[in-house]
Amino acid sequence: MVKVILTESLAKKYTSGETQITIEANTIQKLFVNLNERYPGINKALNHEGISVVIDGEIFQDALYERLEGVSEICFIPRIGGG
Amino acid sequence: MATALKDFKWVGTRAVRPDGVEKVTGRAKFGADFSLPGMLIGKVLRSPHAHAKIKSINIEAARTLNGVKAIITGSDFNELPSEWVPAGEVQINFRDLSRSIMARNKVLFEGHPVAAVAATSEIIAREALALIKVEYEILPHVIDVEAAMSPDAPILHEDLFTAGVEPSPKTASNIAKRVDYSSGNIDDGFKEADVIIEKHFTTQPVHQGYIEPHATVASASEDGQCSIWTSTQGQYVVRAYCSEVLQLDISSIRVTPSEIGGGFGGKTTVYLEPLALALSKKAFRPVKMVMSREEVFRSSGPTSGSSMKIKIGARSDGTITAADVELKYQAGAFPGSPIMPGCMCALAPYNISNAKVVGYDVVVNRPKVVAYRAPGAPISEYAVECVINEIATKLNIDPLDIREKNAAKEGTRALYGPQFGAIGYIETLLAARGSNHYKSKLHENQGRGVASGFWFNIGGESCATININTDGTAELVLGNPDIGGSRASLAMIAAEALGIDYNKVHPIISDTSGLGYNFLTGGSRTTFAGGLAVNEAAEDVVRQIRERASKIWDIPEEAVTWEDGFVRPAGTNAGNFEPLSLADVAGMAAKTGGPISGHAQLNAQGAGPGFGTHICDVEVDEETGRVTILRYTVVQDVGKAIHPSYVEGQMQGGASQGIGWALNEEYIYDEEGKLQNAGFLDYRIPVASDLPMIDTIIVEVPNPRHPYGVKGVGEVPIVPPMAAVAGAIADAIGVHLTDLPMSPPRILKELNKKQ
Amino acid sequence: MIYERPNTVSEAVEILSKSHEKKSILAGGTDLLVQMRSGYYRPSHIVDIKNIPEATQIRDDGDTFLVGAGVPGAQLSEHVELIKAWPGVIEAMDLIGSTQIQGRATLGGNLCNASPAADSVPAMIAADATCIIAGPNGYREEKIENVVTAPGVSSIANNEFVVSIRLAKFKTGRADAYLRFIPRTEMDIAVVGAAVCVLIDKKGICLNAKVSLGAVAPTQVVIETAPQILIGTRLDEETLDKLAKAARASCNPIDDKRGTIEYRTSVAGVLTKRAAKIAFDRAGGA
Repeated sequence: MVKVILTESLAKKYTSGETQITIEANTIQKLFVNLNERYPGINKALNHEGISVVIDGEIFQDALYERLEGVSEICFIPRIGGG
Repeated sequence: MATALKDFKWVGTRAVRPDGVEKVTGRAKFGADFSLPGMLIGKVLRSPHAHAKIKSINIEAARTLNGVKAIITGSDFNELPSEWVPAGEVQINFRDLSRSIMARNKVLFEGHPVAAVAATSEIIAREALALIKVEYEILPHVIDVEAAMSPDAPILHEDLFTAGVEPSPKTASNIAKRVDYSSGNIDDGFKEADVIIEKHFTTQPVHQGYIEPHATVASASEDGQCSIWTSTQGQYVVRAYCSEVLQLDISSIRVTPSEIGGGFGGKTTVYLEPLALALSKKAFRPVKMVMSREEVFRSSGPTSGSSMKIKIGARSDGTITAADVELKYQAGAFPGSPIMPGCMCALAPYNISNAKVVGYDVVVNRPKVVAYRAPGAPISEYAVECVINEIATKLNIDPLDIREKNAAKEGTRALYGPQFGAIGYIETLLAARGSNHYKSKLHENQGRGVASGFWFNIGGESCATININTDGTAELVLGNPDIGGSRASLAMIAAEALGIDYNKVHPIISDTSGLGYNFLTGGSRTTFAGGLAVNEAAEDVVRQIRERASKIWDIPEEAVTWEDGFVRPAGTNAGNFEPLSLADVAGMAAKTGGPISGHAQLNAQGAGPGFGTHICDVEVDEETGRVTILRYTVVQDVGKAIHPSYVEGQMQGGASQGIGWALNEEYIYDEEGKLQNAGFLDYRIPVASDLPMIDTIIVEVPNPRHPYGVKGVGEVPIVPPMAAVAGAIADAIGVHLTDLPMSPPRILKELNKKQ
Repeated sequence: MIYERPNTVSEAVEILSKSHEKKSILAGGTDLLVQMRSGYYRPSHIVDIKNIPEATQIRDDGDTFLVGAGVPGAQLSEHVELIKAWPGVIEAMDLIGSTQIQGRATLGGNLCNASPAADSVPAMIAADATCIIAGPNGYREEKIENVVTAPGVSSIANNEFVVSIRLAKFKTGRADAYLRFIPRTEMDIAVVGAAVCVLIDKKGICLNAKVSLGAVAPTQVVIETAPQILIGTRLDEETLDKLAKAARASCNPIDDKRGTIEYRTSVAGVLTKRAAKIAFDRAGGA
């Protein structure tokens, strides 16, 4: 089980305001599938190139196939570029 | 982590820069230095209006001018779908990019390209531009962000509906997007506060101010092969953008980066490259295009100007109880200001339980903004840091103490979601407090300010190749243009990992055909991500050396160890052989299986966030409002300084640009939306004599995710200066200014108000 | 475009007397070449005066110095006698541009470019300098304050050119000073410029004075009331406040990218006062 942290605006839109969700998944890819089953449409908001995945505090620009064994917390942030 | 604590031979030294002699002797070739036989000169016709419909473009007279070989206008470009798609590693809307480099039905800012000409000489190209007749219908324009948000503002894009608002608006506006972040309950938080400061701030768009204007040579041949030589922060990004905008196969374009005379984010996009290539595809001759400084100002992107409202509450002991932040960022003519990072960074240095940040991305009739050093962060953090300074003054708490009390540390959850790992913010505050600068005394009309700053830093795709020559020297092939000394730092990492002399490593920057995709030089990623790739490529070399040694000694590979640049048998059981150096093994490469060459390609994760704290002393001339920077110290956690001189250079450079932003830089538009100061004479970046020697204190809290502990360096140092300077001015004159730039007339006005 | 480089004053006058559509005199070229390169101005005819001895030398004609209109700032800044006699004029010239620009920029060019913000012009006015103008009818001499008539416009006729600037020699008790305000420390254009020249007696009493301002009106301004304010005083604080007030009253500036009316007017007073103090100190008062 991993804890997924959502921003309040996403939570308002997809999870009836729930900002912390506990869900089963062994990869990020699977996490998106499972999240979307529970909260239809959320996959579209999270699973795209404009979003980076934060796994236990570490930002992954491309995390789709990262494994989640031993991971406790996931959150999502806009992809950062920089100058 | 273990390696980061080890003693290094090269890492951490101040080795001589491999590109130094070329640059100081004038041999280095920058963008405008490339020339090819038969080359044409390309020039751009730009809109004289801030906002207008293009009713017609007549190129007949120009086309028939002797010496004119090609002309392009908007009709030569494919209309691309409006969608945000990945281009390598960044999100980009190619419809907007394409329209930004060449106007279609409308011009959206003064300087917007409407046509381009390639001719046999610059004089002919200029004459041809004068012969192109464009009929405009002038439309009302809007320059200011607040004005652009008002309901009766002239609309730039009839199909722009604010995203992030429920329900979706039915009418078009200039507000492209609304974003928000929140945690806790700010109303409760403000109830707990003993002091609440609420202020409105404005900042001006500022240009990256790179000394080298954009310059490019493009050559297309009849068989579809295209080559581009250009001054850019990312040759692979230029290739990707040209391929999208001109609908060409990626493999048909080869991009060679020149030496670069500054970028600071401004050369992360394309302006001239697709135009030169489109012209060359018509003429089948090479086309060279070089912007004038005036063109750079009128038509390349600065960073956003802003209007911001900040409200922060704190208990009398300095604990921040709530923060309410509203940010409005100008995007320029097309959506895409750095509002997201602006929102995310605004409160990032602090642990605040009740916080709300709302941001707006707003289009105006100015050039589209482009990345500038920690895009978005300096703007919002400036405003927040100013309010924190004012709270400290009001509560009579030392500004470093109030920051330490509220500082984010390992485990603090940022407003935008994640918990921080091994960050070194508090360490920068402690180093600042311990500095001689902070302990020094001030005199009349002088003041001291401090401010902190945060930036994410990124990783991304990087590749490296190390070719080992038969004499044991190494060719290090890199995929990122070297802006801040990355050739030196990456060669040092290679030398360290290979156990050879740094001077035996020869780093070169490859064109796009030499390596796999590399994301651009930006996001403070090059030494971090490039360093990971170089280290891995070196490991690949070492693996091959061990394999060759096992052949030479006829023992199993596992029985060969690598240590300090030599292969040795693992123990007496493995055999009794003299150690072999890299050069020894390389000399026998042909006999043992062919050349030795290590490669790595990766998508670097685990970039460490960066924090810095700056101290600034100023003296204010109370009769003229003039501010002199007396002393300035930059303190920053860099993880590990591979080459301390270039780390210090980045810290000093960021501070210098930030001081310009704070004191004098601004775009001045007339009533018609035309830029009045398109040049360095009246767009005042600091000159050398404006600044004292900027002191630096390097703090090293190693990044556990990097073999040498590296964190990004280049962007953080532009975040704190504006608030540090504002704090120093406030300390000197007792007035907290809220509008940038804090130019002499503005300060004199405040002083007169005070009296 | 035709470029000509006459060897004598009369050759130059002859060339200038022929009719040419857009004629430009080239001294240091630090304004002209920039205007040409940026595409704002394309003369049809350029007359370079740097091969004319009178225009390229600093001559001592007994009572005065004649500074050729083509003498670069770098040369002036090394001329010991000129520095001693006119520290204000020399510092004004030296403020223009960078080290590289100083190798070319000239007093004559700064004058004839006729910018209201020209640094050396108020200083030359305060110093009571004149210029020697050559034309078809020979030479004439004109006071500096009569040369600039509007922004970019001078009283030098199309068939004339400035050959040299005349400055008096050193005199005990007389000194000048120039200050300008720019937001940076160098490489900028004056937002306000103030030049003051004073003559004092051994007791420090002001015997004569001339004060001129730049960048606060369409042309350089002479503060007409300055002599009556300063003469007979020791430039005490009260007198200097009066002078500052007079300076502000003589301003007629514009709002532009370099400064506001309010700001320019206010700072004109400040700089005038400060420049007067420096000049007074240099003259031996204190």
